[in-house]
Amino acid sequence: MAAWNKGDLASGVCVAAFGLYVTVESSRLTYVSEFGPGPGFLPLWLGMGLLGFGLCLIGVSLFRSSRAERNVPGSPAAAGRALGGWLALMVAIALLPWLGFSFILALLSAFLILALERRSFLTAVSVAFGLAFGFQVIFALALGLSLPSGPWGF
Amino acid sequence: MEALGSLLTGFSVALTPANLFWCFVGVFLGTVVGILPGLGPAATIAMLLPLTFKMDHTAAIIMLAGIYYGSKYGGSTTSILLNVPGESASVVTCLDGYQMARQGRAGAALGISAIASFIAGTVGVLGLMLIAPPIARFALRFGPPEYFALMALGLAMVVFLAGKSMIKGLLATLMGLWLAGVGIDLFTAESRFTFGQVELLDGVDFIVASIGIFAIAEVLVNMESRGGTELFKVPKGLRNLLPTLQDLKDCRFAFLNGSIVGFLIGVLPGAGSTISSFIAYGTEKAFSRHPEKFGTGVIEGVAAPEGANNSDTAGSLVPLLTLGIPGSNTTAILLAALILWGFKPGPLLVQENPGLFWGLVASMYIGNVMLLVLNLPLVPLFAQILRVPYFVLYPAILGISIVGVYSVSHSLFDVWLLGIFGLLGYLMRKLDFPAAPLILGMVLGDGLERALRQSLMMSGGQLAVLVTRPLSAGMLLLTVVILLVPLVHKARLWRMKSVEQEI
Repeated sequence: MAAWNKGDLASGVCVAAFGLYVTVESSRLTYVSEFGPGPGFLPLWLGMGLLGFGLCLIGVSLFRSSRAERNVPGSPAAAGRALGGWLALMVAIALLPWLGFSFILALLSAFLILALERRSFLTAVSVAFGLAFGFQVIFALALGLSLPSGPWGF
Repeated sequence: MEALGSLLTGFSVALTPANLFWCFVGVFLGTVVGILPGLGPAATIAMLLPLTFKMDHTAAIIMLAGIYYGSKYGGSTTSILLNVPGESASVVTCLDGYQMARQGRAGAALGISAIASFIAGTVGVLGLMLIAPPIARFALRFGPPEYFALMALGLAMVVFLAGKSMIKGLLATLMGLWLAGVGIDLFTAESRFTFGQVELLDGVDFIVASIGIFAIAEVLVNMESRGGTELFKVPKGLRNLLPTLQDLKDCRFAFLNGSIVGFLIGVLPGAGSTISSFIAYGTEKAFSRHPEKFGTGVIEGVAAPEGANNSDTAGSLVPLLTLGIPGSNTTAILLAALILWGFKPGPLLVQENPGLFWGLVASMYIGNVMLLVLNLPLVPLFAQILRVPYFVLYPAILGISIVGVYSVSHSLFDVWLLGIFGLLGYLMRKLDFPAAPLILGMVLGDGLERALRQSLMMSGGQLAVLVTRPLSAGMLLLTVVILLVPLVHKARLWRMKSVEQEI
């Protein structure tokens, strides 16, 4: 079976399972109230739609896998780099309330440039500082937007 | 002739140095606001409202309207250059605009966006001037069944946004519709799918989802290649950066389509410019000679939605000024401004305050020219952003995305959602799920459910109410036709293949 179709199969299973969850949860909400359709009315149909089309996707992926091999998406290493970047972003978001936007942007930029782009330390530090300073000047000072600030006030 | 005479009076008001100055201030601020993701015209107008109390009221409305339509010009810039929608109405511009930038045609995309905005904006003002009252009365005939049919017609556009797999397109749409339903139910105040999170009671803001799915996902995809992605090509010389005559020729239908669709949808209170841009894009693809190229960097795919979201602003002023009904957040704030200044927006506004109404209409012609003059020379400057090395650009995109999301709601929870939608967008890209139908579902979901439930409440649960009213029946019929087109096309292909095999 081609990796591409494994992807379709996995996504079909996930979507169908999610559709089942939406259907079950919606059935606990009011379907029809005395004023007309209730809050469970549309979600129930959406859940059934997700379940139905999810099953269709599973069927299509199984049917196609036996017929033709298709493109394989990027390598695991490439996906690992992207997911590493995403994890760094999520850690940065978690630290935002404690360290403030400017400091976090600098840290995140430096990490991405050093770890993923493999640029020099000097490049990473100068880009990180430049971006943090630029964002502070444009958004916080010039436009007066309030951004999460750290213990040092920015 | 009467309208022309009134327009001349309007120009005599709008062309005073003070009003020209405030018009420029408005369109300039609007462009800046449009470029910055998250900071929308509604918030800007609300922030500036207290400053207008001591201003001449005509100058004030000219400036505030300038911010409104100016933001639509600027909204496309980050969509084209960075895949970050600057405005909700510019989400669809990402589809072809960013692809054009990847192919070294960012300048042409930015240029055609400004030109389409100018043409459609001007057509919209013509509509506001000439046919505002009858159109506004017609729009009032839209009840819940008609709105449901309109939303269904909008959803049918999934046919043109689905890409290779219709099943995946439909799944993405259903997911978007479900996301739109997260939060407190407006009719019964019951909470739905909030997973115990208080922050989700307000629902999921679709701009958070859009920025996550388009911008963050794009950054993640580019992180895959070690050493960074190659820089996008930016041709040298102004001539090579602006749209060619052939581009303009290719877009002639898109200009017309965007102008008409945008104005008509704009007149309908509550429909919104995002819907108009999606419908204009779908219409453009439906009538195109090369629909299969849409999404790969087709210039008409930029011109049609950009035109529509500009024409929409003039359309949305029709119910505001002639009936006193605001159709969007921004026009609601404009309505509040008019009332605070002592005006009574409604059928008598034009007769009682001709200077204000016609001055505003004339200023919009002038403002559109100012925006074109302001935006076209900026194209080469904006295009230079693409010369910035990617290792500098993508932390900046992440920063802009966080600022854009946080500045709207001041909620860190929304920033978390941004990250989650970023991962969802990345997975959708890897698994070949189209992102646009998900956004379409999110945009239309709330209105669709409200209209459907109101219709069924009106009729005592009888679905027939949706097809017994001529307007809604007509739109639903069109929806069915649009949905059947791909099936008919596939059936014809199968038949042709089987005939060929027999031969």
